[in-house]
Amino acid sequence: MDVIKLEGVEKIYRTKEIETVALENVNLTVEEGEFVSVMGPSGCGKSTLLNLIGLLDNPTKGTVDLLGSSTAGMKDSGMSEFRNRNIGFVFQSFHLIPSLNVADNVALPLIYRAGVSAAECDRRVREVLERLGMSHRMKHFPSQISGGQCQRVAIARAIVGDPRIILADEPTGNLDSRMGAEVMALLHELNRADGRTIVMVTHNEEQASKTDRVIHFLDGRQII
Amino acid sequence: MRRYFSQIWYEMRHQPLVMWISVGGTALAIFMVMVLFTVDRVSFVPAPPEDNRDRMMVGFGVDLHFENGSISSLLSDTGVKKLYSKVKGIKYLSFTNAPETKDVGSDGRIVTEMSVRGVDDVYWKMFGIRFQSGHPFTAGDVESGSRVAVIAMSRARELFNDDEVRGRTIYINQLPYRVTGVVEDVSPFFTFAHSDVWVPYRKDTPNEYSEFVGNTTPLMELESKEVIPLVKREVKARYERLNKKLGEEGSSLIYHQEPFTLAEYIGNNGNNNDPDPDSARMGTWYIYAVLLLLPAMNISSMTRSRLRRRVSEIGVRRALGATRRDILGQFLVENLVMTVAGTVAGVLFSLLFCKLYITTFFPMENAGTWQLIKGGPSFSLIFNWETLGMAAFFCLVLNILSTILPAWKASRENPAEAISGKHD
Ligand SMILES: Nc1ncnc2c1ncn2[C@@H]1O[C@H](COP(=O)(O)OP(=O)(O)OP(=O)(O)O)[C@@H](O)[C@H]1O
Ligand SMILES: [Mg+2]
Repeated sequence: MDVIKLEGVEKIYRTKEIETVALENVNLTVEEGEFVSVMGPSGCGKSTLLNLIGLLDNPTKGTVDLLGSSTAGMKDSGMSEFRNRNIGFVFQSFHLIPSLNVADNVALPLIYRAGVSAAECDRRVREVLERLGMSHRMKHFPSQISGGQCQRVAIARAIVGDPRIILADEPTGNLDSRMGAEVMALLHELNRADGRTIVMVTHNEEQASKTDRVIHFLDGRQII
Repeated sequence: MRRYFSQIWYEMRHQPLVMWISVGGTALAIFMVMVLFTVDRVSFVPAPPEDNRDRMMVGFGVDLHFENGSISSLLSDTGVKKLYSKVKGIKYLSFTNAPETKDVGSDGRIVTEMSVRGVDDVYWKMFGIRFQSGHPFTAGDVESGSRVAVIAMSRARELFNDDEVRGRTIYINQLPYRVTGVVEDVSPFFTFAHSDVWVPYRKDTPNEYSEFVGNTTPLMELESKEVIPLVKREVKARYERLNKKLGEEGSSLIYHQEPFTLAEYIGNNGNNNDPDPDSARMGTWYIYAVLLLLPAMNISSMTRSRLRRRVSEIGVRRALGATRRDILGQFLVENLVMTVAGTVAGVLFSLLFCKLYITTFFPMENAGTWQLIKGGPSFSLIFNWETLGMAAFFCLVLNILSTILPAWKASRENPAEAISGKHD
């Protein structure tokens, strides 16, 4: 099954003075369990693509189908729920909430999900942090742990709700090579062991070469 | 819910200035409203010994115009009789002299300044001033101008080091007076019942300009507060009647809506003008409104700046599945918590202030002395939960209203742009 299917997608940013074509006629399918990397020079529209797949923004033209259903007519609250259940985000700069401790950061997706009891929430947070080797830092605040640890926590937060799609925008961009390799190993494990579909933006050839497929972008167009 | 609190607590520690200004603004507003209200209440609410504040009236003075000039002065007792004697609805009419500060001493020559008020025998019936020993002076004492005095307990002790001073002699401006009674101290909160020493009221000597000009302040207790307009109407009619006669001599009395209620009297600030209770009340409301609006504006701008710092947090929460309503709710709850914290702080300040006000500030400012006045107003007189509740309620409503707009805007941000911090 196609987990992600984009057809004729176009994204234009309009401000009063200028019009930026960020994506132009993108057609793309990603199958269940695939690990795809997206490459291309700065400003070619990689993040824009991920935002559209992640329902954080709407395309100007074209359709985005996820998990076999169209997202075109979805209301804002419907998109929120879809993101919450099916999509996990990992960002370059981690984007942990500085005023929440590690456990509370990881708990966020479950808090926004209806019908998850406090006890179950605690159990799942503990479980996922144990899996990522961060359970000894549950009460720490993001400012009190290292960058690599922050990204582990962010990945824990991305998978605590058990989503089928993980979108990672330069997940190792702010990490040194050793920590970057650790994070990559984690993502591969999530892909292989859990069968999650992953779309990752990266500037690193070596990382990209280890994924199932590499998609290249140039100036808003998909070139391979 | 616990997470809300811990996040707020974290922000309080990391953004102390912004948070304390938000909380402090609310606290200050509640506090100021309580202070204003307290000061107001202390002067107007009936309480012993002025149980009759709501039906008390004062004939403040006389405004007399001639062909070549005018006199604004206190009334003579002839004038008081002509204007207020036997007016229907007036239960007691008391002739008094405004309190004056005089040197008071005892045999032992201790001399201090005390407030001395001239009153007649009716005065003692009007106010529930309690006698520790002895009795007030009589109509006969007033008539004959006897040198007798009633003294407040704490002042008696000051002079004699003794409670039982009945029959002893005090010296007022060097003249000897025999003490007929000792009363419990009356707080200076009570405009007319307060004094240190009371002596028989001094009758006027005829004035060369007019029989109306003198030195008397008539105090009246009405049968009920309902007859206030009735009394005013009758007095107005008397002014008109008197003016008919005075007009023949080329002079007239200017009617200023006398006699004044306590509120009018205090509102006039010792001037003999037309009372203007409406504008006074409006003024009070304006002040209340401003006091409550200020923290709301303050919170509104603080909320906006807090939200600006937290756009990317909002974006991340949206990405993780927060709906617009979740975001709106989060900031409303956060502000609710801060408003409640501010209200609690404001209440504590108010309680403290009321205590201090009773024991320290007010006696200082009014008696001109540093000592505590025994028998000050009770706590319940100046503190009132209803006002506090009202102030807290309005603060809450205004604060929530002022949060809704910025929080609503924040909740509508495009999540993609919010996360990247690309927004204006
Ligand atoms: N909110 C926006 N408003 C206007 N233009 C935008 C906006 N977001 C992105 N763009 C423009 O769209 C184009 C694609 O941006 P995008 O962020 O997707 O690039 P990218 O491939 O992720 O680049 P990088 O590798 O630097 O992250 C760029 O030209 C960018 O300037
Ligand atoms: Mg990018």
